[in-house]
Amino acid sequence: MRVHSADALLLEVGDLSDGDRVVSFLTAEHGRRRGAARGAKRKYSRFSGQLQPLATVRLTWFEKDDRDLVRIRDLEVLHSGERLRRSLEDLLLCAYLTEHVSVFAQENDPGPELFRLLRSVVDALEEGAAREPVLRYFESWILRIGGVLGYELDCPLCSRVLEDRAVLPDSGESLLCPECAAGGGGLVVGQGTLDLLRRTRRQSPSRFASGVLAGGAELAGATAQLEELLLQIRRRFLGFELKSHGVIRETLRRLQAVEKGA
Amino acid sequence: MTTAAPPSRREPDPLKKLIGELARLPGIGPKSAARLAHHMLRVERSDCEALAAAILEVKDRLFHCSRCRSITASDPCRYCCDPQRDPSRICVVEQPFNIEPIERTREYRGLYHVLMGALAPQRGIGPDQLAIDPLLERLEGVEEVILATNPNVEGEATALYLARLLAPRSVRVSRLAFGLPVGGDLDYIDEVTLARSLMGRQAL
Repeated sequence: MRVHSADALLLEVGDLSDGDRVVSFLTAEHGRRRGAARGAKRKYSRFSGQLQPLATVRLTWFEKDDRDLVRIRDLEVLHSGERLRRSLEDLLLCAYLTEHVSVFAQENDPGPELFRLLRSVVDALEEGAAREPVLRYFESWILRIGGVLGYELDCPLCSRVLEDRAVLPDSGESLLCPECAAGGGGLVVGQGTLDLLRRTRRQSPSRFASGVLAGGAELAGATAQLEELLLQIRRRFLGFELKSHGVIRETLRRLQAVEKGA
Repeated sequence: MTTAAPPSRREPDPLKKLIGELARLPGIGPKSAARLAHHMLRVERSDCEALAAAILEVKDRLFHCSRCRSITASDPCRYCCDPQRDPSRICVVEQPFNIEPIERTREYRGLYHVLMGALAPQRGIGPDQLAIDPLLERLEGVEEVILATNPNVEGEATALYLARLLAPRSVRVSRLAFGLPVGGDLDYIDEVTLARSLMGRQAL
């Protein structure tokens, strides 16, 4: 039996048995892991109130060779992330972020980039950065870290830099230059969208979000197209859509209809 | 000369089968299942029959109340039929078994509504999978809806969603308070619970 200790971001917290919880968490050194928090549902549990998604914690856990589920021994909250759980939109966003990480992060595979990404996005949201641009930032980076989206924006067929226009063909996950994509259909993205994509690489999430907000209506078309582009790339790469994506859309649509009617 | 065969170390099949079935129950691991199964072997046949009959009776006779979705043997359930209960208040819970702890407090004498779950986007559970529309259909004459969903992310999201859904209606919406456990000690309270307690503090 080995004992590990690391800083971690909590992802999902679920029921394991009558009094226990199962917690998935992300660390830089060990990637995503799942652990049992014994007695976490009971009165006066040392874990009570601390097992909150997207909280940053110092975790100590036991690990046995033949078991996937580790056993959480100690947990100290470094940063509760409480401000991320104060509105319905925040809570839905938490679900979207954690599902992304659960799908993209490999179990027991070191993931310092993914850990840094999630940490920086959580910080930006807690500081009050606008949700939607931060989400685009997160979506683009998780595709880069997953090896789906290139760090440089160039055509994989002819190596030409994608500047004014690019095309996401009807099949495949790579953006092509208009010449290489000629003859086939697909999503045509303009310079504004490509610029935004470049900015996500160079800037922090907060700076990217404030830049998008400052761009106002001028950038509205490009941000909407960026959302669609990232959605299509992710969907094709995974071969399915994240469950939270449809549920969140439907939940907010229903609420908007009620609030509009009122 | 014949030698006796060594006793088999393997469980006979019916026992293995019982252990397997018991181990499928929530909170029962293989060791507990084996203990329970061997207990069944020790007790009288009538005790086993009573247990089997009770399990079958639960499956045959109990169902969800058509109004509140609590577990009942008659429709409407005893909560919905009780004239002593205050029909102007509905307490909303996630699961039928959440009703019992509230009943034990003897502080609440209104009606209930069971959502049959909570919003969990990452598991694909949205408003359509919950009994939210039936709740909206029950609001005539109701003055207060008490949201008693669990104090976790999913329960909180469900409560916030319902609060906004109910906001245009002329009904008071309240949420169970978050706070310090009675008999606890401030030194040992986690910061999230303490922060929620401060936010939900009451004037004396």
